[in-house]
Amino acid sequence: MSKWFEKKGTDDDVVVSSRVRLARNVKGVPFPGRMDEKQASGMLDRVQEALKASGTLRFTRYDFHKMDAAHRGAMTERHLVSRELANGSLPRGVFLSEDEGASIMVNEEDHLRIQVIGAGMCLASCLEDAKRLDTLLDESLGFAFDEKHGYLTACPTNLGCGLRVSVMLHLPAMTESGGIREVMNAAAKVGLTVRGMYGEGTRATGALYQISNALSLGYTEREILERLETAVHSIMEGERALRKRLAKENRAYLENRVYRALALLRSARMISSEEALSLLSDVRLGAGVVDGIDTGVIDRLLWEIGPCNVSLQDKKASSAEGRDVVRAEIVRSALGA
Amino acid sequence: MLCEKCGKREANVYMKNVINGETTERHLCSECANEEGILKTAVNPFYGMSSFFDDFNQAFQGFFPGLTAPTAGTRGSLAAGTTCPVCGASAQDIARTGRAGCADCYSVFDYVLDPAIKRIHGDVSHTGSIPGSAGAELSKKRRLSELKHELKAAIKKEAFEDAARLRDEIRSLENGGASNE
Ligand SMILES: [Zn+2]
Ligand SMILES: [Zn+2]
Repeated sequence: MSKWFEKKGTDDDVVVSSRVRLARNVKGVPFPGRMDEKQASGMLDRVQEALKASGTLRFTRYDFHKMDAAHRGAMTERHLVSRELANGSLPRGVFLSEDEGASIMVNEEDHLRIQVIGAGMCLASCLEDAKRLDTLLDESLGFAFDEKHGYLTACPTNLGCGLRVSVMLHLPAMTESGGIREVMNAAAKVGLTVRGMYGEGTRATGALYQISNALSLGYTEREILERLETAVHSIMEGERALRKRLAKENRAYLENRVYRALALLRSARMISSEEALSLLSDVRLGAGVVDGIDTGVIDRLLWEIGPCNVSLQDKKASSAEGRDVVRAEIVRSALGA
Repeated sequence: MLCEKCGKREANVYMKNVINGETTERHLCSECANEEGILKTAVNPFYGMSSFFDDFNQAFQGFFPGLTAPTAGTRGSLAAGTTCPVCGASAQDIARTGRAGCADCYSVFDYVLDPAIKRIHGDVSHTGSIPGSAGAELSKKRRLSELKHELKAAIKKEAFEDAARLRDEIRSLENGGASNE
């Protein structure tokens, strides 16, 4: 079965992926912060039972307390689980769907974190899938809820719908022109957060950013989703306008940058993840304005070039240098060099 | 930004090099760049595009009239002594971690958590979806108060047959029966 990121997404010149996450807890059981080991492994088993009772869905269980750091890190790099889950100490884990698009983290900060991720702009279908899982699991687990606060979560900031919607954006033109600072300020004023995926501040490596809602109490799921969609559309239009302007005013610069990056990626025998990210970003800058740019291949590489994922590919990738060699091989073969 | 070489003229040449993963960046004016023999392709065509964002910012804000983002606040004062019967957390535990110990903490320590929640989210209640399990309980609660109201009215009217029927219905609902709704 193909993975979620192998599908072609809409608006993929700017949007890499969409993600929806629901925070849920089971009534009458202490939250993970106050659980003992027995309660924690009991929760993993209860979620497994609940999924089994649903019948139709096939999920694979991964017990993180029994896995090594490289395998845990690889899932973090692929955004299937959070860093907090990978680094926790309690019995904990994740249930992963076949295409890896749906995951249920157990015993992170809350008992359950239901996550659905998809390629390109697809928040509505992600939310639909997440709510379906939510309803199904609630039937056998019974989620903690009250009328005033909504879904009860460990951290009061997640109360309400317990919903975080986020979109991963590629904004090279916004970054280079300095406009990303305006985007961050504008987003903050409407309750949205923009942060760099890799590296801090306004010069994020690879020009990759995540925009998400901060809060979900006092709003319906639809309102939260629509607000983020509106913001993403206006950012998307801005990024496209800048790229088009660049293509019109300085086509040689644009093409030079895109094709040089492509040539380096196709020729390098050693490459660090940071250099790879920034070259992939340069190639992606040409999406929608330069012919022959396949964002699908670039985005697949984004999930495969992290140090943990590379180290699992080959024995010689146990040192940083060895990883750079293996990473360059992965990149070359993906780009057909 | 001024040229980093002469420090006099406006920088309009931007150079970025990644060599063995090490990134170096330079901002120069075109004269200094020419002196250093830097190719024309290194001129950053993004310079001067910033005015675009004045319009962008206005358009962006236009989508969300009157909306301001809530900000996270500090935690409230505490009362000592009580612990939560489900998770054993004290008010101090909650203040120290910024986290509730379990779902019941929200009612046990409402005097600690509610002011904090108000500061984070504003004075609002949940308006989103309701889980199926809680939905059944909520409608049962609503049905019970309706029945009790009807029972009072029936007794007042001395409609004892109705009252008996209503009393039975209330009893079965309180003993775990499902709502008719
Ligand atoms: Zn100068
Ligand atoms: Zn508690």
